[in-house]
Amino acid sequence: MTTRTRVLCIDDNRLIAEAMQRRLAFEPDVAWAGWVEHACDALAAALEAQPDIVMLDIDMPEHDAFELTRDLARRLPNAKVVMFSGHVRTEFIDRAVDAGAWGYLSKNESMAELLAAIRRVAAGEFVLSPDVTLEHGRHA
Amino acid sequence: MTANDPIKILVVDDLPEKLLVYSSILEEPGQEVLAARSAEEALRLVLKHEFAVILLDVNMPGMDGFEAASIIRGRRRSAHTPIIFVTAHADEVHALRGYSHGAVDYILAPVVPEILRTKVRVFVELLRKSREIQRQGEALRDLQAREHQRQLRETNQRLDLALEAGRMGTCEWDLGPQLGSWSPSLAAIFGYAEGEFTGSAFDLSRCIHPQDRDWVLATLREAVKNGESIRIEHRIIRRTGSEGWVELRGRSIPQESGLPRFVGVCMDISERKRAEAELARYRAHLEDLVRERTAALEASHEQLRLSDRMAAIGTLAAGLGHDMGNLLLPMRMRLDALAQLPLPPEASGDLNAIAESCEYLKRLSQGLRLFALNPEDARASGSHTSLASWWQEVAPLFRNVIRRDIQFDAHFPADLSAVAIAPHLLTQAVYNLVQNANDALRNQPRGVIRISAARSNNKAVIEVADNGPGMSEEVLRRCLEPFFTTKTRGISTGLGLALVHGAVHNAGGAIDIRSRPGEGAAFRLTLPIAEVTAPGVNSSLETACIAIQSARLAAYIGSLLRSLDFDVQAGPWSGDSRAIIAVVDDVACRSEDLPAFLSVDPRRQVIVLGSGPENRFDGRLICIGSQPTAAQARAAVEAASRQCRADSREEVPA
Repeated sequence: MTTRTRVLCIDDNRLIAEAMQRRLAFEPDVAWAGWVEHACDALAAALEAQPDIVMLDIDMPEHDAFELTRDLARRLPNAKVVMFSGHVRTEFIDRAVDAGAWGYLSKNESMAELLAAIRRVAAGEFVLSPDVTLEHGRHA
Repeated sequence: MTANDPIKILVVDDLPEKLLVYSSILEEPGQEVLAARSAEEALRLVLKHEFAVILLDVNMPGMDGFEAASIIRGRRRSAHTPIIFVTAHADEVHALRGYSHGAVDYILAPVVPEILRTKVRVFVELLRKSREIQRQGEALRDLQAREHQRQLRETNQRLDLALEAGRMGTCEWDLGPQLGSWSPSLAAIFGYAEGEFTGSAFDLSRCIHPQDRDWVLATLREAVKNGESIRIEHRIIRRTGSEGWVELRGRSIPQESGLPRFVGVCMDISERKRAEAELARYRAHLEDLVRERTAALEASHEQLRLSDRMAAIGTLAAGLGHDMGNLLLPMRMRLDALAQLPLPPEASGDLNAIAESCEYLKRLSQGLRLFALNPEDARASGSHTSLASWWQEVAPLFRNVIRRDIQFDAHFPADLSAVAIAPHLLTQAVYNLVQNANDALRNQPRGVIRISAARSNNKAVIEVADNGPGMSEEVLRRCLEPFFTTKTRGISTGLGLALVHGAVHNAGGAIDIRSRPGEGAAFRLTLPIAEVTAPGVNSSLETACIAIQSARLAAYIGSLLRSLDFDVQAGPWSGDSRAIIAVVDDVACRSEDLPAFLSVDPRRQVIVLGSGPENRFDGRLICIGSQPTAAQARAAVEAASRQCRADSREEVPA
């Protein structure tokens, strides 16, 4: 039995979380590790669930996503945190990397891209949304 | 006649013995007695001398004493000389009273010497006293005159000082060839030194400014003729040639001779005039400044109002875009989930249609968010825009801006390069152009708006064209000016095109407008292409190898290198790799192995996460810390990429 990639979703938006769960159910190599609605519960839930990938919504108000990323990276070294956002701000990417994230994805991604990104991170790659790459990985 | 002149007495008698007696009685120091033997002789003497008293014998042959007395009295000089008649008869005395001009006395003969002496003394004293009084009166008058003169001199001096201090001069003039008088201060006003001013009418008129001369002289003549007073200001020309201003005040006063004379005071007001001119200048300057500042203030108020409005719209748009995005994500996920199920074809068809709408909405939400970003925030969305993907996002937004009845043509090739302008600025710029085109086509059937992009040399050209009424030459010339608008103020702030111009200009681009009345308008934005990685001389990708402990950092650095078109190999260090860039840390690779690696190929670069060897190989060995930040890693990768490619390309001068 091949191990499935366990994905934990931290997002204050129930519609997004449930839709993500519904979609991922169609992927045989991906397993749903749960949904955390409140950031304050995130660490405890993650320790309990022991996910491979954490999809972390950084648009949650009153919550420092980068701080949480650092905490998760420290406490769960086997989990890879991928930041997920409606805004792709180039200045956040450096901060994401420095906080220990394995990727920064846009909520405007197509489903195909999103799934591919999850798989690549699981394989040990660092992922950035295409519209971010142009700016971030700049020219010579 | 001094006080010390002897007093003269005249005795008149026909008998010489009597004369002798009288003389001897009356001779005294200070007194001189003159004798006459007849009335005629007495008269002669009276004409020659002034007598204090005349002793006159009444009984004389020929002219008697009374007659002589009346003749003496008739002469002006002797009209008041006292006369003592000598008479023998007391009753003649009554007749004597008739001769009452001046002092008259009588003495009875035979004369008692003491009585005679006494009577004469009275008149002599009288004369002495009156002479004394006269003398004292004259001395007093002299003294008074001298005192008056002194006071007058002092007064004049004070007046002169006052005139000088007040820069005033006085003059008197009967309008003849020469001034009657003038103060030295007047000459000074005209620039003459003491004694130089002649006071001639000619010199005076030369001192009046030629342009004022005629009316000043005419005014003076009128005033003198009508006996009026005047107060005028006119220019003068000083002896040095410099100009000045004076105020002339005065009036004409009649003279004893009947000809009137002008008496005036002339005050130098050059300083005041200068100050007035200065004040006027400053006031004008101040008014200009106030006007300028007011205009600037109004402009900044307008800007502020516009900014506020834009900010409000921006906030709304941003919120809307974000919420839309958040709602669309689950929708798209579920649609995709449905697409995994076996569905009847119609259902698949419906699904695809819904998915398409969602895509459209997604792009709309992205466009909204782009639109909402603050133009001042240069870093908000980066500084390059991939035109093809940008167009995908904003097309729905623009379509919404344009009225339904207007045909919207878009030509955006998929292979367009990126432009060197931030996406939100480009969005706002093109949005403005599209909005203007939309407004221009108001009330026009079959309107068309065409937007296209093309490459021209190393620039990208984006054009927004419409078939509206076009612009006149004046509008064309001024349309990029802030606040210039042909629309009603309520609709437009007139700042749209100015913003476009500003944004495009800052990006190093240009805006070109072509329009003629009746022939529509075409706005062309020329933007520099964003430099993307220049392909290496080798057609195949160069290789980079990464051998570091942190899998995550290795993954991150690897993604950076891949975005720069390097083929990335991650794994344990092997010194004979084909890599042109090596990323290592102290654990994976020993410092001693690095020189060998670098010396094989002069293009090779090494990035060390750690301290590394001392030799930096001319910068080909880049050291960053063992726990580098994303920014440090990025800088090192970019430097290495630049350096290894710089050697392999033909050096092209910048």
